[in-house]
Amino acid sequence: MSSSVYGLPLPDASIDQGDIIENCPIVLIPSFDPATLRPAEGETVSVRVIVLTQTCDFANGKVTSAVCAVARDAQTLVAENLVKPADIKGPIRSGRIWGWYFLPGQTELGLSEMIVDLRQLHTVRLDLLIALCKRGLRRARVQPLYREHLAKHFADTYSRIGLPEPYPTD
Amino acid sequence: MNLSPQEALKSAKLEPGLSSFRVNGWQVELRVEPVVEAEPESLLDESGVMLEPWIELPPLGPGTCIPLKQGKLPPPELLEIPADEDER
Repeated sequence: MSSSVYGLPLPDASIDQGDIIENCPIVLIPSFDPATLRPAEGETVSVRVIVLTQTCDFANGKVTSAVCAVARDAQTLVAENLVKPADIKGPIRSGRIWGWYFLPGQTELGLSEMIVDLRQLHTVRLDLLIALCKRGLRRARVQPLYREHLAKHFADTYSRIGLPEPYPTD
Repeated sequence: MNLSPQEALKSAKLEPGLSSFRVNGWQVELRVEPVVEAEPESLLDESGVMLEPWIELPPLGPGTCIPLKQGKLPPPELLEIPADEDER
């Protein structure tokens, strides 16, 4: 099934929604000086990201950066005891966990199962993503239907309206 | 009976197109086309509206340079994961 979830564009293909790119540097501000409110230092982390900016926004050729989310290796999260295998098989895979999106693995592309963390977004320069792809660091592209499924989940993450508690029922 | 051309044409079967014919020694050209309702003019004066729909805001800055070091991605924020309904 997962063979139709992904495609692999050529290295010089343009960036599109659903591209999974390795070694993308993102910057974190782990702490700040309470007196000046300025960060004392920053950290850079190279991560696997998935591009979330809409295809239509890329198509007009005017975006200079892309919204990305980190695609975490699911088995690493299990090994670190952050989630259980049953969590992945059940609620995470079925999209019932707010802000997390499951992506299946595909051995031929070197992809293991992933959890996309839609709660933490990063803005990445488009030319940086293009340079990473030209170096062969684009692992795959989520294909239409699955890509739209991801996009819908992304939109729902930020457009949902939660109730304080579920409606009562008899 | 002295009908105006407009009244006379009311009973005619009209179809879109241009036709030319003689009537009572006159050469008549008749153009038939559907009526296009003119769009109502906007009540808003749009002369000052920037119509380019894609506008980039100027870059932020100037910033402050801080040293960057290699870091580690913090764990994801964990919320309580509900038990799968199938397992209940």
